[in-house]
Amino acid sequence: MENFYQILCCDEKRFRVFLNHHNPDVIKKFVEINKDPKAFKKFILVIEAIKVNNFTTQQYNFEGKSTLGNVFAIKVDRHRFYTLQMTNGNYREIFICRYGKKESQKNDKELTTTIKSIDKIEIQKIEL
Amino acid sequence: MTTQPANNYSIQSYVNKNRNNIDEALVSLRVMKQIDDFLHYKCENNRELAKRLGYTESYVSQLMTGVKKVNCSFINKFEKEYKVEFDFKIKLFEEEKDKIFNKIQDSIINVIHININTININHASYFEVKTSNKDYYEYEDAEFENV
Repeated sequence: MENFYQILCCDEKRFRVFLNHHNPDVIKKFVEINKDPKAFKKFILVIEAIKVNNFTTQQYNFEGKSTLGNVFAIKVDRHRFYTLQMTNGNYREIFICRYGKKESQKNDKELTTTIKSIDKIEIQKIEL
Repeated sequence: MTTQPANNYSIQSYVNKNRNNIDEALVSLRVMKQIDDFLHYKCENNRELAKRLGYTESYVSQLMTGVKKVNCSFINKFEKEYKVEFDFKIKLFEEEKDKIFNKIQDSIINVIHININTININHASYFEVKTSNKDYYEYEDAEFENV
């Protein structure tokens, strides 16, 4: 079971964002981005663009399907946050599950494994 | 693994503080999304787009991420290079739609009132004309007699 804390909720757009607090890489990189104003701005822009369903593939790219939903990558510079997108009632919910670096020939297999591991996730939602 | 609440990461407060800036970037992203979809359809990437329009790849990348905002010069170059035209349309929000719908409804009611008045006037004038017409009376009398 992996704990996901709600970090953003918009009732108007019926949209929620959850962050995996179970994964050390996700937390570490998320904190790192929070400390860098430029990177944080980019991250926020991605989230806001997803919220209004108006994102480019440079921001939020479809990576594949899993049993729970579609997997996308939130792209912020060289960072990749692998995210599970699901629909819960009328709400669109995204779960930032895994972290990976920008895709290259070297880490291609590693990223595939990371994305596949999302399939096995058991989500414990914690709404604040 | 320790789990701590995420309320320290004040995304919402950042969004609230920078609402205008973010909204402007989102407008730009609306345009860039169209270009992104178009590039996907043309099987081209940002590098090729940048080369064709005479911009740096970095600039196009910043536009695609909303860091820089698209301008008319870029759109103009894009339209000329790809022989396309942006089709900007104004869409109404639901509230505005309701307002306009209510206005239309009101004007329809007014039109109906006017029509009713018109009918009354017509009817009245018709009646007046006919009442002064002897033939009409004769005709009506004949009818009445038949009945």
